[in-house]
Amino acid sequence: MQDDFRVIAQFRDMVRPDTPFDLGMEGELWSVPFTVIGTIGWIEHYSGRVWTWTDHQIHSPTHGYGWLTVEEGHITYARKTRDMPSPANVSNSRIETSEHRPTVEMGGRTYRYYGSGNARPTFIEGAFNYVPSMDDRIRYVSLVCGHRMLDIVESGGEIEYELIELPDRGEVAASFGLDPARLPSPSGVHVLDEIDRSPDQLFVRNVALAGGAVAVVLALALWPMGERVARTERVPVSAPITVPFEITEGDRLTNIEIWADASNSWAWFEAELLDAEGAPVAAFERGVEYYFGREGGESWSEGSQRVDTRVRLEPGQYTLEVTPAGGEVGWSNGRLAQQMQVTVSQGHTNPWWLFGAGLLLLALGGAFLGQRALHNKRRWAGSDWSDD
Amino acid sequence: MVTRVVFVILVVSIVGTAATLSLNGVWGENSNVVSTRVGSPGGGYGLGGGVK
Repeated sequence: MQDDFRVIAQFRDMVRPDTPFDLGMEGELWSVPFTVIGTIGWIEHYSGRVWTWTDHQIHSPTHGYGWLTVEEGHITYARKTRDMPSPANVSNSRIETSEHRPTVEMGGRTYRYYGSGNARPTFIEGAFNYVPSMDDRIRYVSLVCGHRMLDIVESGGEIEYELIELPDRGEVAASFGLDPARLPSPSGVHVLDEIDRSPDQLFVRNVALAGGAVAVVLALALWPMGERVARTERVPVSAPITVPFEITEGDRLTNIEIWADASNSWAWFEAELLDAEGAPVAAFERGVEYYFGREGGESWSEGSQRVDTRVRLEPGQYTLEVTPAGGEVGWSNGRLAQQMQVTVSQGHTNPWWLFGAGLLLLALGGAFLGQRALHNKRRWAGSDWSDD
Repeated sequence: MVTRVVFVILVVSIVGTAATLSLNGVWGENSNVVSTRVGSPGGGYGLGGGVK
């Protein structure tokens, strides 16, 4: 087999690029046997930076010719295609003036711009299905769709299209018997190395996201629950208020809201809860404080004229006694609270449990999305496209 | 298949438990409320607790 692809052209005094492939090596790609028949080293200069890679022409008696490319430790497989994308080419002017990544359509797929450049050979040896020359100059445009890259290659006035895939690196190395010492570790994540989720992983992700969404929706539905059972008039903050009320929903929370028109001041209240026999059940102290003003041309406010206290009460008759316990002006143009009002409502919930469950499940599902987003960011890190 | 069923049961359990705890207002009481009921020091606020 090797005699069929003996060296037909060799250029003296050229440094052979670092590559683990030698002419005559045989191996399989997706169970198809190939033989390495040629080697071309490439170099690209742009803006003071240098990129190099090595193409190896390979041949299969059943599948024809292809290329194995070694670049920064990654090994890709390329084959020519007669299909033509639409548009047929991506010009430099389009790349430079487009506001978004240029795209082309081919075979029902949308390929997004990844990179472009101009390259020349630095090393040629072996047999090829065309006649390479050290004078060759190519312009290439690479576009990516998932696991597949489309290269539009211009050379000598002709345009060719190549489809590039990323075979399993370990399988290629094992099949071709590559020397690990000659195969450097891959640098970064290859753009074709897209994450493949198993059906179970997708199921877990989707169920977690759906469960999280349901939990949040339920929490939002529970949030406004509550039924008013007593409300006083707005009365002067000079004497205690007595509020009789009845609780019928003992399995939920009761909310006691104290309102006072404190303005750039605070007001303090003492409250005591008595049962139907007049025996004290609970006591608490709460204050309202509300400040506002303008600074730097913008209005600001802090605090609230309302304060809520939630308690758990068994069904029955209750009396709430709220006693003003002083206050103080704490800001310019402040005014002590003049009026107060007490509202009692029942049937309240604590939806933070559902918010917590929603957060937990959304975080689980989001971890899948986050991992993919992070991976994709690393995949596309080598692109020369900039949104700026 | 078993993995999927177990995971669905787990998610439904998490959401169901959270919904039950939310509806019952568990840990929703203000901590500064002091029960004055004899025999219920500290207010007795907790799972299934109350001020009475």
